Amino acid sequence: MEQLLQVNNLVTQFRTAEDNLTAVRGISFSVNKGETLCIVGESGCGKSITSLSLMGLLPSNGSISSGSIKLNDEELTSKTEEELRRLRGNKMSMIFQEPMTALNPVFTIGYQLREPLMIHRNMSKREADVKALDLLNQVGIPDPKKRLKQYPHELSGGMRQRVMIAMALACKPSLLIADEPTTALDVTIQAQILDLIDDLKQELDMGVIFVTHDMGVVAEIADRVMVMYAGEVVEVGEVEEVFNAPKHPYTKGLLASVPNVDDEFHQLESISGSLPNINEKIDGCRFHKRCPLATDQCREQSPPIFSVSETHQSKCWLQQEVTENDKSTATS
Amino acid sequence: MTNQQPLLEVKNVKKYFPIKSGLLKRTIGNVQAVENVSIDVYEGETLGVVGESGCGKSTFGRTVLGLEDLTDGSISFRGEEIGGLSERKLKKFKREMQMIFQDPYASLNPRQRIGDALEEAFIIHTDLSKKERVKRVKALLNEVGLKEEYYERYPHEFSGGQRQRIGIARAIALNPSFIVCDEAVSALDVSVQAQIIKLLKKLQQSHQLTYLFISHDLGVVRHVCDRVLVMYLGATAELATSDQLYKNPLHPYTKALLSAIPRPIPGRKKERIRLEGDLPNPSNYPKGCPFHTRCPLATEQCKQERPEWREVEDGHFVACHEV
Repeated sequence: MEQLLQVNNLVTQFRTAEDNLTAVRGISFSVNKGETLCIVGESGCGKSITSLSLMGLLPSNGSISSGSIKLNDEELTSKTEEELRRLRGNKMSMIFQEPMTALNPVFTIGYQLREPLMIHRNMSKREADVKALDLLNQVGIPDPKKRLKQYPHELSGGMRQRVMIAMALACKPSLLIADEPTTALDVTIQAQILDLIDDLKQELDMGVIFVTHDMGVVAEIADRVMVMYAGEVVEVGEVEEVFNAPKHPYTKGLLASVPNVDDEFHQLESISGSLPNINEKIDGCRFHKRCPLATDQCREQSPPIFSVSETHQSKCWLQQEVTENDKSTATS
Repeated sequence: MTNQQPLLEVKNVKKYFPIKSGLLKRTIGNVQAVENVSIDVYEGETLGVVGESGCGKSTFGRTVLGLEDLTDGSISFRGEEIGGLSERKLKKFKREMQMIFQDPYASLNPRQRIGDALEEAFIIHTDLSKKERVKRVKALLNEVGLKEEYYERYPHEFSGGQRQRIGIARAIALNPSFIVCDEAVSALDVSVQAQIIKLLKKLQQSHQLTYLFISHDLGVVRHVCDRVLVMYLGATAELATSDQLYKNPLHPYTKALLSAIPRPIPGRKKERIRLEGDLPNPSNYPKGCPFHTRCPLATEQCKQERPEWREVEDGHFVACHEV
């Protein structure tokens, strides 16, 4: 598979009156064409900031302090605001959690759908109108002609999210970033939207980054999963590997705390404590305070990333033993 | 459980919100938020209420607590009618019936210390001295797993999970017997959600609480509830024990709802029942079965006649012509 996006040692910081806060701490990952990467973690773990960093949409006090982001071998971190604007909505697009705040309430759906086409594709208003109708059809909106003349408040939540998706896909981007696009929707509507994103991904051979905290959604749509904790990637791998044989204690905890619909005897486990404060100084592994397996080594030294398999990595000291045992058996 | 006296009896409850328009503000129609709901809630059980947003589950919870006026029907608590009581007469029941909200931050005064906020219930409903009240508040904080020192703190200093603990402390302050949990764990991360569910279960044991657990998350409901009521567009679609409902759902809406939940098992074959479209607008209530506009099994009869609420097996109620 062809590589689409390559992120290396990305560090994102926020300037505040007292201090520089680090929200994303040197993460690296990649996305291939036609692949869905899910980023999971608790709120505040840096998953949304990661996606905003990729889009160049960080709030004014935030900035990428080091690292590189390459989309189709083009470096994004050195681009000017103007150059980024030409990419956004064109080569890469984003869908947000709450479509009502992302759509402009004083313009019609049609106007907002035509806009990216007229800007990025130099279409005339009439051409764009035809294409907009096409797009609404593609995302399964009934009676699209009428919808083009309507305003966002006249649509239901699921319908608005479809319009957002149509807008994001207007210019056939190669990368789609979806930040909790179904969290505010009901399950029946969520199912419709997930199917839609999956269908369109295959049709357009897009790379998709899907940010969510719902493990059920991850299992449905992800090819690969990346688990984040307190600004770091703690585990990454193919979805079967991570769900069937999680290696990091945090991933295990997350999976055990999801209530199981099909099993009445399922014992719910919780992870004790909560996410550390963003400015809290933590020695050693950032998860050790909540980890049931923490050792002295975990409290003192931050673990490097260990490979479980070619596609599966975990940032945990416990993995070291396993990896070394494997090596010794391999050499002997 | 079925032969005991219900703690709460809800009969044919309707809640309509009038739509007013024009110069004289005449009522031109109604939003039928709760449409003819009848149900008994038994002492010590957790009754789940599920459905999509806009199905009237929150309005139902608020109506039961007397926070909304009844349009029609009756509600009795321990055999006493409480529907339509005046605010003053309702006060004695309010000690017994409490509510936990989705976002406790919205219901806490940002300039009031947590201790003071919790103390208010005791000031209004008891004649304890200041010293005793402070003691009670600290005991409460302990009970919900917070430190006594938090008495001095303000709402913004707490995390989401801790705030929900405060919301729970406030609800159990006066030793109520009945609590409506309106999406009480929906806004929390899964790891924290599991902590709060455990706390709710512990308190149910120690305080003999009865919960009306309103949620859109069917996974959580299965885990928490003894019986589950499925609502659609203000009306009751199905009622059964959790086991019956999840193993043998009868109403086509329940089936679709259950099949739409994403399971955390990768590679599982999807056998989804696709529902087309959205919830109809409750101000323009469909004739016949409220679900017929989206139902894959709808017949001519469904479009004309409202299905009756009938018991198909022991304790398993459903409103559908096709079952």
